[in-house]
Amino acid sequence: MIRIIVRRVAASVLVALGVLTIIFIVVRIVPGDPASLILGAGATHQQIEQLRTSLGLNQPLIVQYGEFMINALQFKFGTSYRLGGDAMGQVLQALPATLLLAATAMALVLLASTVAGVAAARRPGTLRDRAISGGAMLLQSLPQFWVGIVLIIVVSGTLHLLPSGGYGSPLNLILPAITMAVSFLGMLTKMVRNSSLEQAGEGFVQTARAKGMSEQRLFYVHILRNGLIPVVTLAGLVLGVFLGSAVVIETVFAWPGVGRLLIQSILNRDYPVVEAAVFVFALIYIGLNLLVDLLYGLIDPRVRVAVTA
Amino acid sequence: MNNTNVVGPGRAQHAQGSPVLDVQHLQVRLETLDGPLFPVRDMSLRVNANETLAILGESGSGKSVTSLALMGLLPRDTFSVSAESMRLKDEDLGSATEKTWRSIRGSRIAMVFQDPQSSLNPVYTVGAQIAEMFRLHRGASRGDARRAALEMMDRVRIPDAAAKYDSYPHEFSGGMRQRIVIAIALALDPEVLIADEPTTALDVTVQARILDLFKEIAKDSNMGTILITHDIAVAATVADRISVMYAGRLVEEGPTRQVLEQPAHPYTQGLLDAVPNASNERTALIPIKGSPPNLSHIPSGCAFHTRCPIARDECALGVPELLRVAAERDSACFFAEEVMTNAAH
Ligand SMILES: Nc1ncnc2c1ncn2[C@@H]1O[C@H](COP(=O)(O)OP(=O)(O)O)[C@@H](O)[C@H]1O
Ligand SMILES: [Mg+2]
Repeated sequence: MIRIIVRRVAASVLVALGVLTIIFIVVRIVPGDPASLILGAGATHQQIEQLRTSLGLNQPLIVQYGEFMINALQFKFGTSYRLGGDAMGQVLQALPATLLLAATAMALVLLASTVAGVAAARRPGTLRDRAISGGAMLLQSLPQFWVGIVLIIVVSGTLHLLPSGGYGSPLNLILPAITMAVSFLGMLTKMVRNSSLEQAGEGFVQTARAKGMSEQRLFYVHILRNGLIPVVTLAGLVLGVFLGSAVVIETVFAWPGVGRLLIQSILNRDYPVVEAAVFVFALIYIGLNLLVDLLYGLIDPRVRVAVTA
Repeated sequence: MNNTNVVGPGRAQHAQGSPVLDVQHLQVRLETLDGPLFPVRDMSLRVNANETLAILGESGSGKSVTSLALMGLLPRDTFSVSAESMRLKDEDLGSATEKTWRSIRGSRIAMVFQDPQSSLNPVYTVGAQIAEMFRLHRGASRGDARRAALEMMDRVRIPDAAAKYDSYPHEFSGGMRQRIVIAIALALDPEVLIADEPTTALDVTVQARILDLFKEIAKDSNMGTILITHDIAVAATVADRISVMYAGRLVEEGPTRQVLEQPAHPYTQGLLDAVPNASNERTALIPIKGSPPNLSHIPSGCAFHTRCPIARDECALGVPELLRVAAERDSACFFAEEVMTNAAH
């Protein structure tokens, strides 16, 4: 098991280095000269040349690449052109807001999809099942930004129940978290339902019933744990996708997270912050995948053995 | 009232004759799109404390459906169970609600299923799956349940139980898994144990050891055991009495030795002739001709008449009733006496 973990971690480090390389290339391909950006429209040719030299932009690309990598591995991406201050510092400052949003959305998805999925699987083919499955399908097909805008218009605009944006109170969290959760809520509900239903036909279910337990316990303790095995893999990927959707949702709801920072930095060509933000997202994504692998073994003992053997 | 003292001697008295489980004229109806089918048409059984009853019959004769009916485990949306009477001691199972069934299942009637490969939950440790019985029905604490489960593992002869407690089912062999399933079934000291083909999925050598375990358990407990099997040798090894089932009906019943030495139904005779035993050692084995009937096309009259070597015209017309043909012997054949006389030679 330890050996496997070491191997997975080593692979993750390679992926991280790959991500950094891509960041380096992309930022260099994008049109626009950082030096002229920093100095603004009024700068002279001489000033720009001077800054290019001091930023190292006149050195051969391979040397620039080496320096970039060495700095990046120390989390140094330079100073934000727009905000001043350390670029990584800006990103880390915005990170808790994004994590709070993604974690809330994830908790919402897991809780609701488990309850709804199992409720449907317990009575397959009934009205209850059809309502839940149909609802799940509907949720899954709604575009996220549309859900966000409709929520703002209806819940905060018409009904005045919740704030349409901002940060600080738990009330601010509700609408963006729901928006983030909505499409995956449908997908995971369907998945929990189908995989629980599949497990319900297994032999151990008959034994569990013969033990004299309630259907409640049968489904939530015995069937669900088996049914969750495929769901966990998906949930890990979903968290990754949440980070991606944070870019849109944080912007729509004026939520001060890394997603919104990233968009603003891109619009302002604030490359150090863009680099830092993309790298942080990549690291989280890599970490999540690693976590899913480990969690998988925790839920399914057969994987633990298969992996060690 | 001193309950704890009453249990021991009370149960011993039951051993003298009054049955722990008594089911008369059980019928199971199965709704299908093409109309109802009857996997069990007329089954009766009576098992006493401290006794093993084997239910013998070819595959498809309704043994498993009978056992699930006795556990209240047939899905209510497609199956309906009826019986003239269905009693577990003083409890009327015929009118039991789901809540009553839940308190009976596992604690008063326990069951061992055929395939140990699939009958344990793959994501929980074997120890926890035994301990769950004490937690569910006795409200035992974690520690107490664990101790009790370890004791059960010893009882079903799992070597080094303490070290195996935290193993998962896939780490066990089929035989060891079946021992765990048996430990779960025996955990709460049930009054009735139903084992549905408990050795069929196992290797021959393992089969013998599991059967030994059943014998040993039957000897030191007061339970009534119902062993379901298609294998006459298994029934011969463990059972005190044998009930023979054909196409959902009880066709013969009696003490093991007598049934095997002098069957009172041509079907039982056919089963005997198909396997090696003392009386046909020197002659060829004769399988029963044809195959068991399909549920949707059960022959009229005696369902066995299409395969029966001594069938006559009346066999296709009327259903022979199960009648007493000798002391402790019942048969549902019009010509039971003839069958018994022939067998005696
Ligand atoms: N859920 C079911 N749906 C349709 N037919 C069934 C079902 N369960 C059992 N049967 C039928 O009922 C008959 C008796 O089955 P079973 O009790 O399993 O036989 P046995 O255990 O003696 O081999 C068989 O013909 C089987 O096909
Ligand atoms: Mg069967």
